[in-house]
Amino acid sequence: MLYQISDLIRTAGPRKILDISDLMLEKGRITAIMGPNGAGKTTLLETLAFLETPSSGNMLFDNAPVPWSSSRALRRLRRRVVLVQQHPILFTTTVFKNIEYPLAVRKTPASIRHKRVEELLDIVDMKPFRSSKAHRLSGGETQRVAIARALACNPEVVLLDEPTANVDREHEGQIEGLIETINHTRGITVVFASHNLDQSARLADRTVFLHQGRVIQAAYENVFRAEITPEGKAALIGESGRRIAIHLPGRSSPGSRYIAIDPRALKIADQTPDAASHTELQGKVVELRLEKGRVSALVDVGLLLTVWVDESAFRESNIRIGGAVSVVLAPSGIEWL
Amino acid sequence: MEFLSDSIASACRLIWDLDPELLAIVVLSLEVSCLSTALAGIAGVPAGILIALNDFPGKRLCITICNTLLALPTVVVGLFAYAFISRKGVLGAYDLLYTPAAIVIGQTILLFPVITTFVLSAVARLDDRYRKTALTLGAGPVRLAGTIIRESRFGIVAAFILAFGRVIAEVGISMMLGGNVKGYTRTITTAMALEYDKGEFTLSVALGMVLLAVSFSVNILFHAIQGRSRI
Repeated sequence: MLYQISDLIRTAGPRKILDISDLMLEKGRITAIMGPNGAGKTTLLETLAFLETPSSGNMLFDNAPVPWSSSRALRRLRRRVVLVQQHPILFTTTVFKNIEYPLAVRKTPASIRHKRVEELLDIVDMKPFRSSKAHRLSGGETQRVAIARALACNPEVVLLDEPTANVDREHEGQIEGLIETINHTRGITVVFASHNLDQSARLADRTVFLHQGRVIQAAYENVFRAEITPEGKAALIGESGRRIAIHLPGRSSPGSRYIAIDPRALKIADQTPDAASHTELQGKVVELRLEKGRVSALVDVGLLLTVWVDESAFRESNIRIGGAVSVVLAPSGIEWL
Repeated sequence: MEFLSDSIASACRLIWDLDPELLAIVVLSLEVSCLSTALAGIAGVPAGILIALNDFPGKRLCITICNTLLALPTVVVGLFAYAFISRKGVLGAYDLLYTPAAIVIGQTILLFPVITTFVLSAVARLDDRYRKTALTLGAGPVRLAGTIIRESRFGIVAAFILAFGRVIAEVGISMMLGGNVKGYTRTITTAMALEYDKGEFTLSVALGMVLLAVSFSVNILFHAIQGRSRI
């Protein structure tokens, strides 16, 4: 394991920004960190980059504890890991000098530096901009230069905070290709934060879901606010304000809390007819999408629910867009946040 | 009105002829002002960066003290420095009183809080992503400081403009610690004060014109540096 995190807490005043009881990230793999705004993705990435010191907890990097109190030791670790921020900032000099910066920091000889910068400019398709003022580039160009600058560090780990948030479609594909290339050909571990479930499905070997600073087991897309009345009735409320009445097994105390429903724990009714202990919702399929080995079905049951169906099971089913279905919710698929 | 125009005409002649006394006064003023600004910068820039980038107990108090010292009257600095460098003072053995070095010491004390405060303000306003980017790219403390200075150079140059402007025009420290000794510690402002007392307005006006010209030239230089930093 490259990173081993346990009981890690990061606070800002009275608020817990991160509260991770257990998280391991493997070497040489691509991991996606998903979650809504304010979930703690950026703080987690900055902690993994050794830029943010946790308030408490343990973190091992390459099987050794991270020496948070030693700035010299932290600097050594930082030279193995690089972070590309969501809105990367380029120094107010040329594109060339920006990419050269980490090489100059590492005292790389000038001849090697120049060759390496030229290679990186070529990789990110920014050669014509080598002498341009970096702070005058567009958002997408800035992102590509920032990635080239990060790769100049020759890191073991690249951390990317929403790497395609500021880029157009064409360059989104280019950056995704770049992420796959650096992972597959150079074995660099990649951890990226994203809002985009499709992107994580396309790129990541593993997806970690964050909600309010905590790692949750379910996919964050089925996150709702649940209001439970003193009589034990529950209402699920989506982001759009739409709500449905539902029986939520396993919790009866009144109040309002967030829940996550794991898309893997939702079944289209004809797949698992045993509904004795399950909650069943009637709805209509509004979207079908083929992902890695599965089909993601978006079902409107009053709220939009994402259901993951195994690809082979999907072929044998009658699920089609516009078709009426029953969605069955297994109690084990509900996570209280 | 005739008196003023006569004075200006005589002053112009003095400047045009490069009057040796006038030249000596201007050169000394520039020397002590540049040196004290540089010394205050050497101490004040790192101090401003350190205060801006680090959290420590008493930081707010530290900033408040720096802000208060911005309004330090030059005669107070003169008195304070006098206590140290006069014969009875701790540094009395070095015989610094009434030397250009004494003026430099006093002016450096005056400028240190000015440069510290304005550098602190420039660095604190700088986007924190610059710091984080430099760190994640492997920068050590020296490289980090260099990057921070480079990225906040507009504000830092402004601090130097302000500091130089304050020191070239001050009279209290130069008078109290320099003593206005002719040909040795006489600066533009002390000479102007003396000539005014004597009723000799010609040299006074000439010096005033030179002072304005020097300030103007230095400002043009600093603004050129600032302008380039924005491109």
